[in-house]
Amino acid sequence: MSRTRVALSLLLGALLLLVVPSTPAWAHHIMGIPHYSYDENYPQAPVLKLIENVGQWEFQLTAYPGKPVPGVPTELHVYVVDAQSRSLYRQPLTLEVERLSLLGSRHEVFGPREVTLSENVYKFYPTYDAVGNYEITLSFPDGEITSTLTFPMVVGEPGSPALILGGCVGGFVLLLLTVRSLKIKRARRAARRAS
Amino acid sequence: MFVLVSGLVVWDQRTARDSVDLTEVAAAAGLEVQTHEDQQEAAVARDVVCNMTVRRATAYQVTVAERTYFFCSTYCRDAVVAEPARWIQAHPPSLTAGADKHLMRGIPAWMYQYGVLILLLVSFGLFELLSWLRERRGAPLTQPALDARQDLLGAAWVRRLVTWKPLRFCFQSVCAAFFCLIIYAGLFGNQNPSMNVAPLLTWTIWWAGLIFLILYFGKLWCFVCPWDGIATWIERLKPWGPRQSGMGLGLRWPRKLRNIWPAVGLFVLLTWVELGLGVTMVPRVTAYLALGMLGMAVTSVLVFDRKAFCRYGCLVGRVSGLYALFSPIEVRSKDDAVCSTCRTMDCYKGNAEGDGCPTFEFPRTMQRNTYCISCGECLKTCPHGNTTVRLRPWASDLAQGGKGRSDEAFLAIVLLSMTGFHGLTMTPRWGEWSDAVQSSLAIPAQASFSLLMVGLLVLPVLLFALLSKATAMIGRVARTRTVFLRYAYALLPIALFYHLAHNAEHFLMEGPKLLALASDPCGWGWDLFGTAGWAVPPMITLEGLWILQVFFVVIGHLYGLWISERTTRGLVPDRLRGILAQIPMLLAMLASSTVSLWLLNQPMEMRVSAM
Repeated sequence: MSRTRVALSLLLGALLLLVVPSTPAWAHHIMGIPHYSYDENYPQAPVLKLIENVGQWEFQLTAYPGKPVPGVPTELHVYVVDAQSRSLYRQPLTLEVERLSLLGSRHEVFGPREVTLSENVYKFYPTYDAVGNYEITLSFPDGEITSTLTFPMVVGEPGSPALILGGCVGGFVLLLLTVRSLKIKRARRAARRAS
Repeated sequence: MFVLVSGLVVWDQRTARDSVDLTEVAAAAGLEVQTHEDQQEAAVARDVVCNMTVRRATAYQVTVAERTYFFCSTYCRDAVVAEPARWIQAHPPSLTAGADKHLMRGIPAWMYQYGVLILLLVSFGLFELLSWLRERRGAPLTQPALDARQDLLGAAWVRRLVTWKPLRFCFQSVCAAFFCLIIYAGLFGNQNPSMNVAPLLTWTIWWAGLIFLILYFGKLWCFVCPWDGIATWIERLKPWGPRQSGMGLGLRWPRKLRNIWPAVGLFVLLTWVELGLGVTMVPRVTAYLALGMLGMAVTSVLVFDRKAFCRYGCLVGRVSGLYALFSPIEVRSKDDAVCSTCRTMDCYKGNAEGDGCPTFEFPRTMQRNTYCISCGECLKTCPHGNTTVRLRPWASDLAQGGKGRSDEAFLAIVLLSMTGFHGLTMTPRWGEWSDAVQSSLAIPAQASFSLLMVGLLVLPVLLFALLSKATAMIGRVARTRTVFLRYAYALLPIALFYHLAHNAEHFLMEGPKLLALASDPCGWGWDLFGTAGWAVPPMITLEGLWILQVFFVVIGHLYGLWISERTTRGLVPDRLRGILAQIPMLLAMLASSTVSLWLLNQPMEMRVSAM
């Protein structure tokens, strides 16, 4: 095949592509990024991605940044698809963020706010007010009921259970040592008295 | 009663309910009906009105075209029949605005009204009538003691089994394994309470089931208690056998704390933490509380003599101890004459076979279950084999009367008020009241909760004190304190049975979810036994539960009346004066039981963790 013929074939192919009807490509994009390269190319900042399933729906929550700073606005994107067919969930979604205290009391820091689908994701912009453990609650109508889904979110470096558990073990060892030393002291005193 | 309750549950689960066809009504109204084929095949369904999970085989049904809707009770079904357009559509509303919340209907108004009527009828006159009939037959006015007893260790092999030294270790180690699971799942598992086994196992299975355990088996919990087990193993560095020389200091418990006020304080604190801070919904805090109890038990065993914490400080032991006055199981000496000739008192001091009583009880003089922890040490140590476990009539300890102790009497009233308070906080009304206090005093939610809790804690004590004063005046009893202390025990059956009625709701309705969580205790997506995806329906239908609840309240009230009548006979010798003197106490009991029924009449917000 001559070079001229190859060039003409390529030109014809390019012209044919122009006449192929174009369709919106949203279904294959997340945040404007092609879905096949989403995890590799986006985002540049560290993110937190959490995936949960409720019934037929698969929820993917992405937090920007993944390690939020108190007082700085953040973004939460929720991507919901049918786990089998991969078709999008399109009904409104409600999100609420609460800060959890050590003893379980909750302080609302965001929402509940209902948003509709935008560019295939639901976008929320919460600001975490302090260092601590937070809980993100998503509510959505699912058939006949309203279902909820919760995601943990940690802001800063709050006290972890490992720290408390370590404190318990440390306290226990200290107690054992104290009791043991007192017993030894008592035994010595008794021995002195006896002698 | 066990047979009756079990029979009701079985009957309830085998009874199919009727079905209503609304196809024509829906078609006339042009309603859109959504059909899920996969849901149609499941064994359970969700009530579209109240969100409750119901068993299809025993649920009320409404059929519209090809779709069948299932309901917990006739009330939800009738709501749909009355307003099909509101409920039968693609996405019908639910009674609860919140997502996974489930609002359980209280007993219907007619059941509440008949319940109150029964209480009124039996409160005034029933026991006096029985007494009058007895008098006509020539029987003495004073009621006979409840002497019927059945020795459960009569068979030699049973006694050998019960006194087998490793027996307690076997049970405690199983409970300790569950305890460790709760701690691990609570601390490191998924913090979503509906996906973590710690809240369900602690607050719905154990805490709710504990009251049922006491009703049938007395202090059995103390026998298997993991806190005591772990603390004892640490102190002795051996799994079973008498203490001999342990690591502990063996100091005497402070004299001023030799009462159950520390336990009363811990019980009130736990109630505040549980309800005020909502820790039942936080797996991690549930684990912290369990660790806190273990810390107190270990510290006490290492510092103080014997099991001082079990006797004075353990809120679970003291609450169950007071309720166990009602239980049908007791550990006692068989023959007083044998004890009176015993010079060794090994049951108190201990010997090579076992320890002396860990809670400083002396079986020879022990008349009540309150401080016994059913550890079985006295069964091992008695050289004459004179201690045993016996079956007895319910409420035997309460019926025998006695002087009463102020800390126990106070705990009895606290139990009554706090169990009622617990139920009240689960009703929508509580939110309204709390909001009203919060807005009128401009205080935060936590302060409003605390204020109302203090009010509901103090008010019953004051009212009971006033009524005791009235009884003392009418009955010409020298001291109001005597009346207060002695009649307070008559409130215990009312508290116990309301507690049972309330806990039955949690235990029977929410408890089955344990089957699903057993496969994935930490909420990490495991499926160990293939049950993780199970939607397990309640063990009883809502209507069966209502019958059970009213039954419990009436039974508790009857026992309360009976104890009150016996107390009056002991306090006020004159019969007519006694009848009059009893009226203020009857009013107190009637008010308590009526409030119990009223609480059961309210819709309850069930725990999300278990639904």
